[in-house]
Amino acid sequence: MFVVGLVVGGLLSAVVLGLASGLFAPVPPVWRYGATVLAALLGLLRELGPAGVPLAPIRLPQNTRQVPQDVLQRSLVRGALQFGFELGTGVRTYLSASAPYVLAVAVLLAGQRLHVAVLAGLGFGAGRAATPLLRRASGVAADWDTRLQARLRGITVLAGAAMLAAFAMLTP
Amino acid sequence: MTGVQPSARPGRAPAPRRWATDPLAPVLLLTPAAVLAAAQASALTWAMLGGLAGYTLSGSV
Repeated sequence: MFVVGLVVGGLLSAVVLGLASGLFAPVPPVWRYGATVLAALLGLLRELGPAGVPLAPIRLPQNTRQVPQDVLQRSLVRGALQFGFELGTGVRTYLSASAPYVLAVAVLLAGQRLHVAVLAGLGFGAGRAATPLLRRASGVAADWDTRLQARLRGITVLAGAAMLAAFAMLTP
Repeated sequence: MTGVQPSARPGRAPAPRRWATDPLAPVLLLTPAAVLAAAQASALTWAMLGGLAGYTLSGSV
C-alpha cells in the first residue's frame, strides 16, 4: 500500500503541474526548451562541487515538515497508503536533491502535454518506490543503508547528468 | 574447495544478490535508457527521467 501511495502521489503532483503548464503554453517552444535545459544544467551544478560545496549554491523551496508517525499508528494499511501518498506528492517531505525540481520545471514547460505529465508522475512514484523495494530485496537492510549513503552523491550527479543530456536532446 | 559456494559474510547478502540490489543499480540502468529514449524522442523518456528524479530522494523522508 505504501508503494501504491507513492505512485498515486507522484501522479497527482505531476498532473497538477501538467495542467498548470497551460499557463506557459503561449511562451515560444524554443524559449521553453532553453529554460528547461538551463534548469537541468543548474540542477547538475547544484549537485557538483568539491567537499560538498555546490558549484551552483541555489536554495530551493521545500516544505521541511515530515509526515507524522502517528499516521501509521491509527491504521496500518490506510496509514501506509497515506504515508506513501504524501511522500509521493513531494509536498510533505525533504527534497534533498535537485532532480525533482528539474523534473517539475520540465513538466511545467512541456507545453500542456498531459501524457508527458502522467508518464513523469508515474515514473517519479516508481522511482521513489524503488528505494524501499530494493532495500527489502537486498535482504540486509543495514548494509544496504550504508552503501546508499556512500553512493548518494553519485546517484544525484548521474541523475542530474542524465536529465541534462536528455532534455538537451528533446528539442522542440 | 571447488563446487562449494563461498558463504556470505555475516551482515552481507551473497555477492550476486548484493550486486543486483546495489543502490546504484537503478541509476546505472535508467541513465543510459533515458538518454537513448531521448535520442529517439520517445515519450518514455519522461517516465525514465521521472524514475531517476524520484530515486534521487532515496534516504529522504
